[in-house]
Amino acid sequence: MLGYVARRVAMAVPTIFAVATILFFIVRMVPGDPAVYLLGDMATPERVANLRAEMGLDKPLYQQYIDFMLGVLRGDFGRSFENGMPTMVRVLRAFPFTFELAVAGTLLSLLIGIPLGVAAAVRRGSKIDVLITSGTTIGVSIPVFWLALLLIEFFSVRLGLLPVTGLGNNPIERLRHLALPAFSLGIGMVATVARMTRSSMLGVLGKDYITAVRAKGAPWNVTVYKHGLRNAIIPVVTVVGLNFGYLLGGTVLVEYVFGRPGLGSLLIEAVFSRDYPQIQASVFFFSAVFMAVNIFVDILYSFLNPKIRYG
Amino acid sequence: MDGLIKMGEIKDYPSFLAGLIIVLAVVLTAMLAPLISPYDPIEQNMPHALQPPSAYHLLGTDPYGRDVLSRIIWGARVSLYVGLLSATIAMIVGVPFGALAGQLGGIADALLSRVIDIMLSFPGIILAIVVMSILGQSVDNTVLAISLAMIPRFARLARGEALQLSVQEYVQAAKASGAGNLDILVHHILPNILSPILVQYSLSIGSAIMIEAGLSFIGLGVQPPTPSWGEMLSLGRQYLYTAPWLSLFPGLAIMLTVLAFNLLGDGLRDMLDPRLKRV
Repeated sequence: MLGYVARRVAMAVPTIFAVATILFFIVRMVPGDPAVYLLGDMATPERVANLRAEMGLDKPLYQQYIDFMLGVLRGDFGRSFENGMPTMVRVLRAFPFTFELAVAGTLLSLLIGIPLGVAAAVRRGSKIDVLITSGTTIGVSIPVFWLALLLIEFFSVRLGLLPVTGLGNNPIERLRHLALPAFSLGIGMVATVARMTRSSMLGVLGKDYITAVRAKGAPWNVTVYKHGLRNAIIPVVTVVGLNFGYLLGGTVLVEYVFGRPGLGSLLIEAVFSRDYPQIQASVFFFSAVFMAVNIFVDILYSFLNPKIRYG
Repeated sequence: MDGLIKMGEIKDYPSFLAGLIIVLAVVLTAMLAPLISPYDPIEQNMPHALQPPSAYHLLGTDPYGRDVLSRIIWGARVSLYVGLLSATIAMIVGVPFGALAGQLGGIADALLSRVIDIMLSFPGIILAIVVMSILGQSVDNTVLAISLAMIPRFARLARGEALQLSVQEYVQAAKASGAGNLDILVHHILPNILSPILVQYSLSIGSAIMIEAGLSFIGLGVQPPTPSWGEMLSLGRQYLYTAPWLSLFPGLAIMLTVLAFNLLGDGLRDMLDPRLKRV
């Protein structure tokens, strides 16, 4: 087990390295001189030269690359063009807000999606099943940012029930501020979770041991939830993990609509102000989180399902 | 694959049929835009700004007095152009590479698998955002950014399928009788992995349309005044309190179109894979 974990983590190292390399070169593909961009067209050549030296742009490319990668190892992606703060510090400050949103969205999707999937599987072929199954197809087709707008329009503008922007000062207010963003983000995942739960439950409910439990005289509810769902949950966990990347991508749009702080807002702001060090740090962090979650899911999967052998 | 699907059988696959009908409707709308659009989608008409839906403007007007229905009709062009083109490019680039890697195995496979892993370690829309920030905003750069984000999905799928096929006896037989790698790829591997690729293609058109809308919504995709559904929503966002119709209808158009390609993809999967046939 430990060997597997170590190997899985070791495999991610070259990928992380490659991601950093891509980020280094991609920013250098930008047409024009960042120093000129920062200072404006009217800047004197001396000032441009000074800034280029300060940013290390006057060094040969390989030296710039080595400096960059050494920085990456220390978690140092340079300073933001925007406000001179270390870019990683800004990322780490923004991350808890994105994490909170992603976790809330995931929990919501499980809370809604699993019961829907179970209901559909148990009454397979019934009207409820058809309704839930077609509902999930529609669910994955709704753009998160549109859903967010509709929710704002209904719950905030019309009913005045929930706030749109801000974060809230106390725990209850915080949850109220989180409600609409988390729901917008989670709804696409609800569909995925419900579909996976349905097909996984259908597989499990057809197994002999379920028949045996039934024959023993166990009530239907106990059969479904204790014996059925417990065995059907592994693929659901996996699919949630594998879709975490989409969820992270979704946070960008949701944070934008609600004006919430977070990694996504930071990235979009950096893109519009052409704050390249900030873009590099933000994207690097996104990828790192994404990879970490994938590794975690793999490990969890092998832990939950001892039948799987990793040779 | 020919002969597998008979026209009469299509009615047994309601989701495929529903998807097909909506897709055809959207395609027709896009093609006939100059004929059916009631107003010019770009020309401003300030005296008519922000009118709610009425007999003159069925879906209302925007802050510049432009007819929302007309802009949605023309917006179908952008969505379809970006969706079809980026999914096609991603397929054409991703599938041969993935299939060849799966077929050859060994170092080629190991290398390509790493490349796929690396590309997949960026969440799709984030990769697209970064590429747009480097290339600058235009319709064609949007296509490029989205296809880049979708190539690894096709490559991974094709690799997995080809890997399974490469150990099949008929492929081994072809190899033993002296067929070259390219020959095997073109004649034995590609034709047999067509079904899952086709399903993925349809689903990818839907997600490409979704990503384009997202990019344009943020302001990184198609630039105004070109009518695009995502850009219309970003305008609508500023008028949520006074003109909610601006946010409602373009989103509905995105949802319906994406839904149509998803239904088409799901339906194709059911049709082409008899094992999954729903009872």
